[in-house]
Amino acid sequence: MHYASLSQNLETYLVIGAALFGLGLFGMAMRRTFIGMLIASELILCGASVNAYGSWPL
Amino acid sequence: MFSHESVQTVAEGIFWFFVLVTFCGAILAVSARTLIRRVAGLALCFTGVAGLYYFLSSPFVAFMQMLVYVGALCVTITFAIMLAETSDANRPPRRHKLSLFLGAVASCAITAALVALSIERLPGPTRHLRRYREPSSA
Repeated sequence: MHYASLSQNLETYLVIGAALFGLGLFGMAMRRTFIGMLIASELILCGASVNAYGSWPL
Repeated sequence: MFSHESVQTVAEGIFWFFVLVTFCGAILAVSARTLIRRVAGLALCFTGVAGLYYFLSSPFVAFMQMLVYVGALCVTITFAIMLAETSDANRPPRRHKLSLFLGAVASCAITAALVALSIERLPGPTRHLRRYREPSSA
């Protein structure tokens, strides 16, 4: 794996999207306030967006 | 003076800077103590993701991300926090260490499953993104 060109691979963006999704899921599971859950759900959506735009020509 | 390799390296450095900004914002958004700091972390995360969209050759989406998510959504959540008046007296109690640990393990497991699926299912070893095409080769 060439570390100098990781921004050109597709898998990098899928991993970033999965990590954002996981962080949002953890934030929703913490469940302290309702607005906190809303913020975490926005993180999940952001992760899904990064996945979608990364694999757009698919 | 500016060879292709050096420009590529600088672009790669900027890419990792935006990835760092994204993850710092996301970690701040899930683990800060007050709601305002969580919203600030969320805004930072969205700014990092907008920078990442540049590397996916869609600057218009980066602009719309900044406009809609940071400019409208985070401001709306800030207004909601301002009007909701969550005082320190009736804040929900701190969760136990065990439930935090279990939540972290569960989300890490789901993230690892997603990563394993996304790296395994692609056709071929790597799949390069579509870049800007020059007019001569179109």
